[in-house]
Amino acid sequence: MKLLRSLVLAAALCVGGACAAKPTLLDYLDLYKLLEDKEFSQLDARYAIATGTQTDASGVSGSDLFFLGMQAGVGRRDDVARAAAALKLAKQWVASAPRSVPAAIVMGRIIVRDAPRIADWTEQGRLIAEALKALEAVKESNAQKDPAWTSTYARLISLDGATPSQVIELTRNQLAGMSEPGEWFFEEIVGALELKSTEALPELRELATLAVHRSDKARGTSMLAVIYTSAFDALPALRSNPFKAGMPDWQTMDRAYTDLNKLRPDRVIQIHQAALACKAQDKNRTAELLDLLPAPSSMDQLTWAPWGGDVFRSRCEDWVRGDSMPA
Amino acid sequence: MRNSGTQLAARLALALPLLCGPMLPAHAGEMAERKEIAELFTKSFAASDFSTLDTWYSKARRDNSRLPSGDFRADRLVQSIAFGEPPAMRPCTEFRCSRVNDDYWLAQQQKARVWLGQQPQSTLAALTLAKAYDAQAWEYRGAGFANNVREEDMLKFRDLANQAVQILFTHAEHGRKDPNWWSQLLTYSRYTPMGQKNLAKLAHDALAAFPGNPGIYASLADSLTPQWGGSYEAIAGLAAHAVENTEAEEGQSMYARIYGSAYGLLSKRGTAVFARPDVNWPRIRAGFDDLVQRYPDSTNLNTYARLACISALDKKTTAQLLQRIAQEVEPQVWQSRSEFMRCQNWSREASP
Repeated sequence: MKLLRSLVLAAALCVGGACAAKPTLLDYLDLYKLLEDKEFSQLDARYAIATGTQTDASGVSGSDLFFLGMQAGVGRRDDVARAAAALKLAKQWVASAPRSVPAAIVMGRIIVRDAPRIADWTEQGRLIAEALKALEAVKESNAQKDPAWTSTYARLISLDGATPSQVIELTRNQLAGMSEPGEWFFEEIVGALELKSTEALPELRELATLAVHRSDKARGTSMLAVIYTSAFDALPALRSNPFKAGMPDWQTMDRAYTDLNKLRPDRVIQIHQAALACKAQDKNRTAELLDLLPAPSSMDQLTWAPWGGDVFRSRCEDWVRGDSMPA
Repeated sequence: MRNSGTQLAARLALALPLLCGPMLPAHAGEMAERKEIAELFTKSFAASDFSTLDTWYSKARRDNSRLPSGDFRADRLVQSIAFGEPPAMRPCTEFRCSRVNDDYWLAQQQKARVWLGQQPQSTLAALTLAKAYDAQAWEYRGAGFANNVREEDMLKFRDLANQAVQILFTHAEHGRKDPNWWSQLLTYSRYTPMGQKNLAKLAHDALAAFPGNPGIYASLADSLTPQWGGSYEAIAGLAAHAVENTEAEEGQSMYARIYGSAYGLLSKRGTAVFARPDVNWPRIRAGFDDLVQRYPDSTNLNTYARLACISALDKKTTAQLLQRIAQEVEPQVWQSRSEFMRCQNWSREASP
């Protein structure tokens, strides 16, 4: 997961106390151990502290760190034994503390991740229903203030057949009452739109409008870039024609990526922006953005790959030098 | 002696249910039988048990036996030719390392050559050898757009695909009598310069030899998709021609079969392709109605329902079909449970 990877990198840079004032993912990596030890009340206390932390310029909230820290402990999806153990522990937490918001969300998140791989659809449905029931049970408490409650709920109803318009309706209704949602929240809602199967571009656009409206004072239009970056990953075919009908135009995208890069400069964002500029055949902007990129690293290949890899990047570079046709 | 006896027992255990396969009535269920056929190929090829494969295939061809969905069992065996996942390449520190495990593919090709050496008249062996080259070719090519493939990889792709075509031509004497030889030749010809030049003639000859084989139409339909230089109009023309050729035996069903098989490629540029104005969904729907009447198999019904929902956005038909399917849901036909549930949910919503 992209966010988790960048948080681990950021946290690694903070080792040694350089970032001691601000909690990082490292501060939450012990959560799974607490779950294994069934220290449920400690987990609830840690969640209360985490949710008291505001979403920062990097777009990450304390709640995000809490659940990402827990997710890091749950392990990889293909580690079947560990995943089963994690689900069992989460269920025990829910059973022991049915009013615990983090317990319901942790269980929901494990089921969101693992249920689609269960071949038996009846079992899938049973698990999803169980997770929804746990989230419903804490609905009347402060749960809905945490964007993670809504994103987990949205993913679950989507797994249970909610249409994109129903997902957007839920998001719209919940947005006003929740604390400031971070980037992860909107990435999760994009996931709930199931773009590969629904191609719900009107709903995606509506989500971007809602997101920018909710966050523009602090973040400009950057959430639009977060949402469409996530959409390109969910529906790779969009990359072949990123400005087709129903998608934002290049100027809107350019502004959003610029805003995002101002908030948290990141070469991944810069590469996406340069690739989009090239796709938009904006020669001057492509030249500027390619020039701004630091010297290529092997990690960059992973970002360029879905756009067409080295061949695409070289074609963009040749084109801005006037050597060839546009990419 | 003990060893050979064990081997014989193992071969028999593997072969017996499968040798019976083409004769069996449609009781096992489409998906179970497809899985059996796929395992037949994989296990027999791995064990170099070529005679089991040749015997099974010849019988399926001779009997023209069909799966419950109406697909020919012999065609399904050819579609099941697969070689597993090549082992990952060792880490490489050079600037440009090969991503393709050539040794692995060479071993597969060598095994198929041994088969051909033992059974020079086996078209199935020739199809397997050609497929081993084609699969290696696609490892070089990758699934992305052609203009993003490195030049050296594209050259290798073309060279290997060309070898696949050459292998088929070398075995044309027997191959011409087999529709799967034609459909494979048409597929590989699509991406080799020599084949592209002769594609129209090959298509004409293939349809003259086997005017009713769905695999040949499926291969031609893929060649006529926009990403291969074709158009929606061309696919519609092919589908109409297929119905003309097969109406006496298959009614309107071939129209649906062709769009059903081309959907895999067509949907790469958008799922709702059957809602396009240049796609005649009412005619595809009529084709599916005919297909599910002739072959009332749950795989066909589920495929029809899925396409009505996600591709044609035909709410009424989706609702009717899902009601008809009831408990006979085929999970493998749907992308996921959530897709199925979403179609169910959507089809129950009141229309605006």
